[in-house]
Amino acid sequence: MDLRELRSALEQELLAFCWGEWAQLGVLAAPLGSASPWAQDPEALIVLTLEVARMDPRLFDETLDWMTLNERLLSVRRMRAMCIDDEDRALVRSANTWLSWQRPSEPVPTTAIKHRRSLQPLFYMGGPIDDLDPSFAAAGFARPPLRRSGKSSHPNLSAPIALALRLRAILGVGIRAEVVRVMLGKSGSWVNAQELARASAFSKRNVHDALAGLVEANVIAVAAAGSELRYMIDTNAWSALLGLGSRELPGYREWRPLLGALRRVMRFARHDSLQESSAYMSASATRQLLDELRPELSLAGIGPPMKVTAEDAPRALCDAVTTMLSCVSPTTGAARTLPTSVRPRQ
Amino acid sequence: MMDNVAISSRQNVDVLLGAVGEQLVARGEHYSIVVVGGSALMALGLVSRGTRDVDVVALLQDGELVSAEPLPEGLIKAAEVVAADFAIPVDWLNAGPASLMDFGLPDGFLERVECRGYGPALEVRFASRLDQIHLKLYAVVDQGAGQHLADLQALHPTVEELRAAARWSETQDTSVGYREVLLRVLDYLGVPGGPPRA
Repeated sequence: MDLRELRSALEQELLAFCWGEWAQLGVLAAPLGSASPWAQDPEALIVLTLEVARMDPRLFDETLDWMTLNERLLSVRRMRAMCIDDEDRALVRSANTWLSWQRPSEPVPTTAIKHRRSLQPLFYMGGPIDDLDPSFAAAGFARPPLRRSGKSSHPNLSAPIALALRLRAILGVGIRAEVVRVMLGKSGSWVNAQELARASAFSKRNVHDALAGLVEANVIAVAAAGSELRYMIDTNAWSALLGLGSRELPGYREWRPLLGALRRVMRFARHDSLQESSAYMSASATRQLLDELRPELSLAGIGPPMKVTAEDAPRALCDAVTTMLSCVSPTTGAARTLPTSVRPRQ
Repeated sequence: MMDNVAISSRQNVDVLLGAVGEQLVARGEHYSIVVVGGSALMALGLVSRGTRDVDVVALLQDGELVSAEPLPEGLIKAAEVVAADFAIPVDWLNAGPASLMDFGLPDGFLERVECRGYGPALEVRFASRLDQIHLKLYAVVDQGAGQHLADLQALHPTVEELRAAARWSETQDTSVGYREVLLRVLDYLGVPGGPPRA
């Protein structure tokens, strides 16, 4: 397996995915081929984009422009909950610091930038940077000052992809909107608080409280299964409220683990040191990556690869990436395959 | 891979220890270990049977042998990664025979070892044929025949080598019961009279 080829293929696919998703949500972008059939998780998409867009500064800056315009519909707490590692946390921190400084009430930062040499370039293509953006520098990234383009628009809340934002417009930014989004995605199934907590990125206790409120309001049903409470949403009632036929509800994806797993693979493929390491060490690192991915892939509903040896790991990783990319393909059932050059020789 | 035969050939030993060596480089750690048992016999080409583990009897630190029990954390972690990489038992590299250090290894043990480097981070000293005869004879008497006896016979020990091994083995166990079994084993191996008491 050629890691550079894997990285390149993954970057191209995910850049196209992010641009496509954001274009439907109001970021200025070229028209799309087909609309996404699913409801997107805004914070999961933001955290993915903050990494993917390090290869495309325009996507990065336009996404932050969109976030500024639509900040009232976003949850900083959920953004933090999406983070899988320190790199995510630094990117989210810098984006949120920058966002907070865009508010008219916030003073323009005057923080002196220290340790300029210790900053890592935010964008992978490098290039000289004369002036640094202080909000990104504070989180350890070097980039030129970011100024709003002002090109973003508010999302069309009736679009399937914007269901989460629409529910937040109705119920407020918080647990209830997320719980309802997940339950509509899993309509027809009984779910418990733990599943909803995992998918919504809120604590089980808080989800439990939110569910109790929704049950009291008689908009979801509850049933005891042994000592466990299980919940089901009244799809017809919610569809009617949203002005949709019951079969018109958008599709569901477990975005949090799916996009987290894709970020993990992207960062793995970026390790230049692996290119120089022996075939065994590269395969061993790939096998260890698969072990890390296994829980996320399982939560994402993707059959995780069975435990494999280091020798078999590169092929298993290629298979897993192909499956993950298929899950983010708007064309249902479209099987994305990695270029032949990426795959290990048989 | 079967659980009871994780290491099936001399090449296998080299591959696994080479992998540990690479993992140690990545961890920035360095160890010198002393290996006895089936894997050492295979590594030296003295027997060709498979084995389930690599027995580390001691570590070499500043030119001195020290007990391998407990194995250093970094070495254990590296071996665990290798175990998962090759789908072999997690404890394939272990300090099982470390107690042999309690009463001392045969005189001159360290001078007779065969030293091999597995990259810059792992040195392995394999017990020599003569010392393996010592250890195997002790194992046959202490633990019973089976594989140990087969290994001992595969080493084609001379009468003198067995007598020397018997003398050393009695430093490990001075009981009357041990000597009785030792004499029977020596007799079976064609060494009349047994060794004088150490």
